[in-house]
Amino acid sequence: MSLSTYVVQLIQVLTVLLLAPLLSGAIARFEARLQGRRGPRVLQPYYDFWKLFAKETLRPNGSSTLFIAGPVVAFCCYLIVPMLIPVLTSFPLPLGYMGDILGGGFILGLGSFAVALSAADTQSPYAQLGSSRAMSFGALGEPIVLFVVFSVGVITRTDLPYAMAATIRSSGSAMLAPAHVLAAIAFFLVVLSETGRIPVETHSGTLELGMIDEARAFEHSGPAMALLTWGSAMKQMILYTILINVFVAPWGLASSTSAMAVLLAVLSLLGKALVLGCVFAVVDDSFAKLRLFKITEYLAGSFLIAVLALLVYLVGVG
Amino acid sequence: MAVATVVSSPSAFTSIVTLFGVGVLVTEFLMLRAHLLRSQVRLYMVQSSLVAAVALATGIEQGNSGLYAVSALSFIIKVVIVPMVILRLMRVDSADLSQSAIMKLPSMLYIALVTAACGFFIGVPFRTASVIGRGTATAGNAVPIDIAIVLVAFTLIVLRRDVISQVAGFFSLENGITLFSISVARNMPFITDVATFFDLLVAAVVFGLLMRLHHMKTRTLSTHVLDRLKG
Amino acid sequence: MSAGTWLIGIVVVPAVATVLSYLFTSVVRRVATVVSGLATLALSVMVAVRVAGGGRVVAGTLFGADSLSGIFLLVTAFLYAATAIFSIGYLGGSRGMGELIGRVGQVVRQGASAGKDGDSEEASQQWAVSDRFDKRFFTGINIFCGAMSAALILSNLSLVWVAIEITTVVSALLVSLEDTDGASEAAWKYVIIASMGLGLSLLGVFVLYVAAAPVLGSSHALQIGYLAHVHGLARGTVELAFVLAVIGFGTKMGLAPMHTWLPDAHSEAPTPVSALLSGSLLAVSFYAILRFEQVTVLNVGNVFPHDVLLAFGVLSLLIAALFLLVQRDMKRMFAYSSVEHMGIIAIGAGFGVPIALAGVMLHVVSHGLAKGTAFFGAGSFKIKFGTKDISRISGGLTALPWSGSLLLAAVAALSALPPFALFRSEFMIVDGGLSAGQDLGVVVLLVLVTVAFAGLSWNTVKIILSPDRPNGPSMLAPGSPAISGSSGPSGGLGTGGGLDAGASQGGGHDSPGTAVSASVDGTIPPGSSDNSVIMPLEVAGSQGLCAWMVVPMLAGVVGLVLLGLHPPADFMRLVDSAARELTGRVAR
Repeated sequence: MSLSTYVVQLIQVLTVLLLAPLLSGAIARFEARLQGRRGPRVLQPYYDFWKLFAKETLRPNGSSTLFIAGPVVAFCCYLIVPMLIPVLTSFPLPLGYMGDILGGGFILGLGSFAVALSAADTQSPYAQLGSSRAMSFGALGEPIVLFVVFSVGVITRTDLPYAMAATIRSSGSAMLAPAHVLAAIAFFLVVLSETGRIPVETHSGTLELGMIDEARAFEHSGPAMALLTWGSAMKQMILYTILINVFVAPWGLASSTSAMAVLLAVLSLLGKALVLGCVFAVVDDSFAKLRLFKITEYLAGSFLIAVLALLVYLVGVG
Repeated sequence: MAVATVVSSPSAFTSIVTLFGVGVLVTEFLMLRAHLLRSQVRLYMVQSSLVAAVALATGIEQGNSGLYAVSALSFIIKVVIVPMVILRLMRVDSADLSQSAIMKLPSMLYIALVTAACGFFIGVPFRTASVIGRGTATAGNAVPIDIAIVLVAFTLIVLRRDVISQVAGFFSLENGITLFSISVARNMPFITDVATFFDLLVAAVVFGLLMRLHHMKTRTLSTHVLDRLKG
Repeated sequence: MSAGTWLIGIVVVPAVATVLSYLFTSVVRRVATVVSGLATLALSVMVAVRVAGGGRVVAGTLFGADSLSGIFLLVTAFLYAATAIFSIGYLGGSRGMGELIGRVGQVVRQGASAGKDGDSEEASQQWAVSDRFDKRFFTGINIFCGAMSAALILSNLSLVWVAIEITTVVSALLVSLEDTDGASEAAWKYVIIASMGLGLSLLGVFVLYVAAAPVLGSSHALQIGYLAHVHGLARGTVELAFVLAVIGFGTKMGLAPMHTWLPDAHSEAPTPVSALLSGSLLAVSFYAILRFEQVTVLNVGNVFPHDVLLAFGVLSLLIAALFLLVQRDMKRMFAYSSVEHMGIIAIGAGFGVPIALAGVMLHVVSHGLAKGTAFFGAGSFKIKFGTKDISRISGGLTALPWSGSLLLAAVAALSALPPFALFRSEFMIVDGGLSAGQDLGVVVLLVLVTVAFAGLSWNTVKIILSPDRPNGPSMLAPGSPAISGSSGPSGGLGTGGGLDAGASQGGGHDSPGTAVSASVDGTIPPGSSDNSVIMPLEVAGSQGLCAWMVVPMLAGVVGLVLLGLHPPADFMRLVDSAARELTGRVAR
């Protein structure tokens, strides 16, 4: 049975939307096991959302509509990005041409910006701290993403993520090309910091002073809170998907629109994302959190690798 | 990209060799931030293992038995003996070097990055020449990286003011040159390599002695105190 | 015995002397070093005469010498021999000579110091410490000179590099030998800067290999005998190799702006080592540059390499001339004078015409003689006056009539005054510059040399000819506190006291200066922890300077006058053929 490409497009979005909480839950479970705890149920995030959606939304005194709009805008952004990147198929879907990889990056950035704005709007010191930190480190992280994108761009002579994945699939040695390896490492480091992982941030911690991303959700409650949490789960899934399907393992994607192939693609994506999630959990578990002002060093290091990737390519050795 | 057009879809072998070269460069950058004597020495060991690996891989690809020997010698001398000599002579193996940088780490990284970029572009014509001159050259491919390694090692020596980092810088400079010689100078007479290794050993002993002398005199590993002689 | 055997002898003799110095007592050490120095000198002269007419002496594929090597061999071997002799005087003449006669002197000394001290155990420990210094010193000198000679006669450019790097590390140890703060600082700067430079030159060697391998084949690509005549190498690659070599070996040669280690190392090293560093090590590094220049001229043409050398030469000369004017320290002054002369040499090589190149060759030799003599003189003064500080020394001629006048002669030679060889060589260089049409370069050269002359001669005249101030701290007077602080802790007196800082009992790390001022009259104050400092002082204070220290200086000055007035015919043939070798116009 062959599906319309638009249906597949929709399935892409739904996959990210629906599987993201599952991924978060599984990672949380795995992490707990690593630390010798039993941990929450894998499906716990769904229960959380169910509960939160049933509650009312409280607004802090003096906050504007931005406070409510932020999570919604962010959520929408995270729904748009999956249309642009190779989530399930190895060939570009109709809406894939809507934006290139830079466009995807901008939309992700817009999501973070909306969240930060709504956090700043609360006038709560911790939330504002979180949003200002997130913005300043985000500003340092941005060039890394840009350089990664540039190096991908010059290697494939295109800015479409699909083309990059295709190049890698085409030959095994392209996987080992130094420029590609460096770009992948740099992107890995970016994902680490963007998803609020050690060494940048203790994502499950409760210490407000070290928080960045987590602090932004401090004042939210009810459905808005659910959208925020769900949004960040989706962001995590999107970043994982880019890392997997563009850089590391672009295999197992559907090459046709048959229902079977798409289903297999969904399963393989889930499997790969779980493996990657475990890797992140292990990284998270085996390093210490950096002091806040050392994070610039971390980001400088990632930047360096991203620039090296581009240089290595430009001088023709990679 | 005009420079990039000479790339003729590198083989997996080439990629791996280049990747090891990049690894050496990255360890060089890591040396900029190493805070402990021990970690500096360990980084050097990792770097030297990578150099040995490059020699081995190139040797396999070219069927050049001399390179096997270079690889083995590199491993024995640079990964085992030189670090051992340095650590033995110093006997203060957890000394803190974190104060020795003359500026903040990100600034150092960016300076080193610019230096590396210069090295890359200096190496390009070289690489092109070696590729054109001798057909496919797996190793010659990495020349820009090798030159970048040498220059970053220079930066390391300049930016870190402690004896350990400076010595590590010198030895990694030598690693870069070894890589360069593996890259371009195929069939180098073996005696050259042996003599260079011998020289490295002597240098390690002397550097060790001088570091120890310095440590005895000043009770520190920093070279900030060395400002008596001027004019 | 064939000429090839001589070459091998030049390497083997110092090696044997090294082993002997390491294994046996101080008598054997001294005899072995002097004999080895003289033997190396004899062998070098024989080799030089053999290659004077051009051509090449080889021993296997490993060793080979042509007229270029011959020139540098002469100066290195001369300084080896001279330093060996001077060192006997420098390291405590009475002890050295006494031992040469028999061990009686030592026994007497030990007995005497034990008697004065009332503590024979301490006295014997003092002896052991000094002996360790002594052993390291002579062993190091032999390795150092052996490696320098080897660098000059090795046939493979990469092995030349290895030999030069060995000279770096060995001489760095020698620089640190006096164990003062200044010495360890100087040694560290020296070894790091020079090693960085040499790293670059190794890169240069490999780049040259890349250029030469396609033409000469991989096994001959770095053989000097082949490189000297090769044509058709890739232009850009050779240029890169040359620049790397000039920067790299230029660091070791003391070309500005890479010269910064040089004044430190030369002033803090034991004086005999300073003489070797300045007179021959710089020359050996220049030799390596010349080998690259040879190839570059053949394959790139004259303009590029000569411009590079001119630029570095002028910069060195400029910096050295300015710094010479303001020097307060005698040995630093001579060190900057070395930078100045390396600048002149580089400029001369940059002029690149045969007459200038012949001048350069002559300059290398005569600079070696003059600078060796000057440093020997400075060493004698240091022992006599206990300081290197120019403002504290005066009346040299009355205090040290022989060393003083010879030092004066050496300085006159370094300033290129007429009867001496450096006048002839600089004249040839200027002549060459004019004939090469480098008028501007000649003008710059002359102006800067004049400035340097002013600085050098003014300071020296102050030391030697000014009247002895009766009240001033000019001579080492008992208990004079000014002296102990004059040139840093034990700056002038560390010869014997080198390594005892760590090993001394009791007082530990107190300033050696106190011990110095307390012990200047030759008696050993009870409780002083720094007894071994006394040894050279006894020489200086009670006996005056010995013949061991005067003879090498005399030999140097005689050589300078000889080369200046009437150089031997064979020597001039050697110089001319080396110059031809460099211009690439060799009759094969």
